[in-house]
Amino acid sequence: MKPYAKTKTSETLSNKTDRAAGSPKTPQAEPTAPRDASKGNPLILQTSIRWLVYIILFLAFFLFWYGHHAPGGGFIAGLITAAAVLLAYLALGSRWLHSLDFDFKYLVAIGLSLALVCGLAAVLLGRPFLTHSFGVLSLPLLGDIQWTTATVFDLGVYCTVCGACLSIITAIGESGRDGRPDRKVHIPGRQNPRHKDEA
Amino acid sequence: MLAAIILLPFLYGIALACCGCKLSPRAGLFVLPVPIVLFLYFVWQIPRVAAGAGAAFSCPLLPQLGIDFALGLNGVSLIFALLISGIGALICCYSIGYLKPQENLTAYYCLILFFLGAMLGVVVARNLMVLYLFWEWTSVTSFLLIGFWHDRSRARYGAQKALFLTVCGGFCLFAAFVLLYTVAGSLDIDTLLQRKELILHSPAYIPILILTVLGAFTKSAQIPFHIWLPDAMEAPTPISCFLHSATMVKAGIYLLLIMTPLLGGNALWFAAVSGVGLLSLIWGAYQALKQTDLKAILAYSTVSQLGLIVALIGFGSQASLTAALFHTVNHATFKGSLFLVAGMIDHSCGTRDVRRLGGLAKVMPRTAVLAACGCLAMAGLPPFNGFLSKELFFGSALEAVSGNLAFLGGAAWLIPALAVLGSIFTFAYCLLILFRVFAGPLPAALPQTPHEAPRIMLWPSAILASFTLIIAFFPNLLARYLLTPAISGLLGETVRIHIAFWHGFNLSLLMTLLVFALGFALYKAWPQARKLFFGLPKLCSANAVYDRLIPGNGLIAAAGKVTDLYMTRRLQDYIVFNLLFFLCMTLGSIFCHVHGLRLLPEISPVSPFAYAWAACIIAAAIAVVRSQNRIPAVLSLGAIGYSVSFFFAVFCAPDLALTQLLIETVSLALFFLAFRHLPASFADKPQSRRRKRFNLLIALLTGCCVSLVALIGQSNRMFSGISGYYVENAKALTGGSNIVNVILVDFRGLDTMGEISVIAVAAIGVFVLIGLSPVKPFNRQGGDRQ
Amino acid sequence: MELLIAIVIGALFSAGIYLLLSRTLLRILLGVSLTTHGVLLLLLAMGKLNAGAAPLLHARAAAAYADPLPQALILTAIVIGFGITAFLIVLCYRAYQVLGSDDTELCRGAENE
Repeated sequence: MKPYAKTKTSETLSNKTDRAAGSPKTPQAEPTAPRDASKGNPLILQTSIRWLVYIILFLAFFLFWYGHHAPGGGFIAGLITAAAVLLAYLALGSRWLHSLDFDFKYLVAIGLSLALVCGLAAVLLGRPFLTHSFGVLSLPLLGDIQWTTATVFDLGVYCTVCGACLSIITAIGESGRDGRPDRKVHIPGRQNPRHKDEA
Repeated sequence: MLAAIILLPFLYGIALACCGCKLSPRAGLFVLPVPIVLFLYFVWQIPRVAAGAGAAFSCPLLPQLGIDFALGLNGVSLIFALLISGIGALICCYSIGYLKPQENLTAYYCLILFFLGAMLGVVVARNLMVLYLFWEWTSVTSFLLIGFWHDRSRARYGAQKALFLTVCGGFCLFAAFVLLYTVAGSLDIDTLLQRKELILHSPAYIPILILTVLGAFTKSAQIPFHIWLPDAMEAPTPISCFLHSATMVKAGIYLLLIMTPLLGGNALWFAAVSGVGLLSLIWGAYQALKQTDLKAILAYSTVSQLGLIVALIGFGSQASLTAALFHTVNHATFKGSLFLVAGMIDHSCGTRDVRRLGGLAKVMPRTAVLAACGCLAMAGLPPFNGFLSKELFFGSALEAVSGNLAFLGGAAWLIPALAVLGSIFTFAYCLLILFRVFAGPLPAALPQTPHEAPRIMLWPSAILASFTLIIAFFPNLLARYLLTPAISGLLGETVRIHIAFWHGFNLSLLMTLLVFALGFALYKAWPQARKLFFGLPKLCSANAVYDRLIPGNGLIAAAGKVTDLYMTRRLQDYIVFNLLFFLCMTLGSIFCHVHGLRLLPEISPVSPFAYAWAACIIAAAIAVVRSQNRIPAVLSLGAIGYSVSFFFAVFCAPDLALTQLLIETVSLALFFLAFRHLPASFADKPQSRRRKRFNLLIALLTGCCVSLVALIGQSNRMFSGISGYYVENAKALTGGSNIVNVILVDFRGLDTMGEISVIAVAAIGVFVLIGLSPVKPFNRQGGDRQ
Repeated sequence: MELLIAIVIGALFSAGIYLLLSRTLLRILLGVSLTTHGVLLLLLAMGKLNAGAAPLLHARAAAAYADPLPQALILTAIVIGFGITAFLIVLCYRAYQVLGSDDTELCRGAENE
């Protein structure tokens, strides 16, 4: 237990000073993960990310749209989108994330609702839940487009996966930042740290 | 209608439990109508049952096992049902005055309602399993009611003892019923009565007899299972009156009565039942003399009076069965009123110790009158109903000498002698209760100033006490409407019952007078007799056996030790148990079917890259295990993930490859983001060598088992799969070309919906866990800003 | 190939279970991840390996297609495995915060539980 006590004391004490100074805190024997992810990132990444994100998002959209006929689909597209935002977060830091000002849990809710609505629409038309239909749409310039209602469902999947991944990442990444101090609990001298007042 | 009546208390109790918190102070008033309604229903049924057309209900539950939810009212059931519902109503009324509003009244009345329903179910059931179900339910509710004031350790001890003994008896009863089913092929009581000969001559007859009788004796607190009843007096007094003197303990009596035509009629039954009954009569009365707590005296007196009833059932003649039923009713009236009086004394004086009480007749005159009715009735003095019962008891005892118990020969004369002895003790303690508590000088130092009890508590006791007189003067009303149908139903022939005060100068009258004389003498000589009684050597005490066997260092400690063996509170041990079970199941089922399985699949060609890939994965896995720092470990995990995605790509699963690639990337990012909060060390904490080797063994065994499963899965196709359907119909039914995606969002869309729900729940879980406010730490550094 | 993949699956499971039985929380977490990867390989092995082309219906029909059903199952398993891993990471993090130690031996239940 002793090494941990030492770590915790130094970390909790250094919290107050470090937050003021903005310098990275140091856990024992580990390469430092900077408090703000953007500090210390190479300039190249920070510059290129601005247009890289759009390329990745376009790739995601492409894979989503053609998922029904080629490798792709809602899961992959959602993950690629999440990867894009993650890359931007790692490159530009939490200031960028806060400027985005979007709670990703709403994306999860939107995705689940889309999937549900897609299924219920079939019920309203008298068919079993989640019955899909498909067809071919002939547009003058674009030619034959194969449409299917499964795309709506896939959109729901896309939103859910993307929103879930991003909310997990942002929650973990943002915990311990300003607004929520590191809640390391220092229990002096206890061999068996067990909280009796925890339900 | 009958089923509704039986279910009414349960439903009402559930409704009360649901909205109980609002009703709590007034719960009693809400509950009071239920037993009153039940009582009126059963009164309404009296002429029907007398005519032989009682209500019935049947509904199949498990026909393959012969279990039907069959209910039926006959004479015996009706008597008990009237007792249960009537006394239940009086108890509800009494409890309103007895319990303070701060108590957990909702639970109390719910339990009373459940008990009421269960007890009615016991007496009304026509199928043995239904009877058993309700029987055990009464045990459970009795346990909960005895332990009502569960912060008292004596109450917990008493409840546990009662539960243990009655449930053991219930288990014996269950075994008896199962044996009856295997012998006679039916669980319906009426059908069993028709197959009586089959049961009597089967080899399982003696076990059935013993088990049934054990069940009845544990419930009715007969020797040597009577030890739970005095400890059950920790319950509130209305409960002691309702359960432990008037109704629940009579369940054993009821069982013996309905089993009399089935199992009775031979020497073993007569000897066993009447023997135990007489023993309980004497032992209970003897112990009652030695007690100082008013409720304890009444408890042992209940044991003794129940012994009297059991002995009467054991005698087995028509007269004795009549006397048994008659005394059941009488006992309920006088014992019930005496328990309620004890409650009133406790309520107003603050103590139940007879050594400290005295002279209460001056301050509580009405209570004194009620107590006098109860005590004198129990003692067997005219003009109370107890006198009639005692007369019938002595008459039956004398009859049994030359009747059913004649096989005992000369020893049969012991029976009336024992009856007289028991009655002498009964007489003595009745007078002791009455005169020591109510006569004499008023003691100066009582915990509370004694005052007359409130009317809401007086009325139930008065009603019961009045019955002691009403039944005494109009016994044939009872006989004609209730006893005659009951006995006729039991014996299967129409009988005529007439009860009278005066039977002429005969031996039973002589015995009665002898009891009065000697009992009065014992009462007068009590101080000297007390020394004698306490000076007698102590025989083997059932209580001592119980105390050594069960609580404390006995069974419960042993159960604790067994649990401690496997509940080590260590996470790894629980994982090991799971893995061992998994191994046993899998390997076991493989070995059971080993001759039908091919082990080695057709080996498809392996390219050198495959060897390299496999080596890479295995090396990375070993690297994760052996690494001492967390970053190399996580990077090795990433390497494994990417290798798996490479494998997917090579084996024609492009969707999978893409997904795995992305997931692995995001996971790695997640790990590194989380490392800030996780401890720095990665190397395993020191474990003993033996433990490490054991872990390694389990891990290798599991790995081998799973390899085996993989091999067997690849080599044996039990049936052609369903994938062909998807391949053929993807284009036609869905218009899509990516079969995997089509399966996910179209064919098996519901599964995907479940999957995204899981992922959403994981995200919400992560959010909640991180956003939870901290537990109050002992040494806060910095502010807590949420 | 089948034998090889069975061996690889076994190795992954052994490593994963060995890590699961350790005392450090992070090791348990990595054990779960390893076992999950083993399960993915096991699922794929249940379909015939080398059966045919990727399950994509193009204009030219292939002679045989790889089994699409295990692939759909694996896709689900991958995503859910990720969700579980993420949740476990946060659970470890929170447990370490509250209990102050990542040693499961020190975080055992109390005697009377």
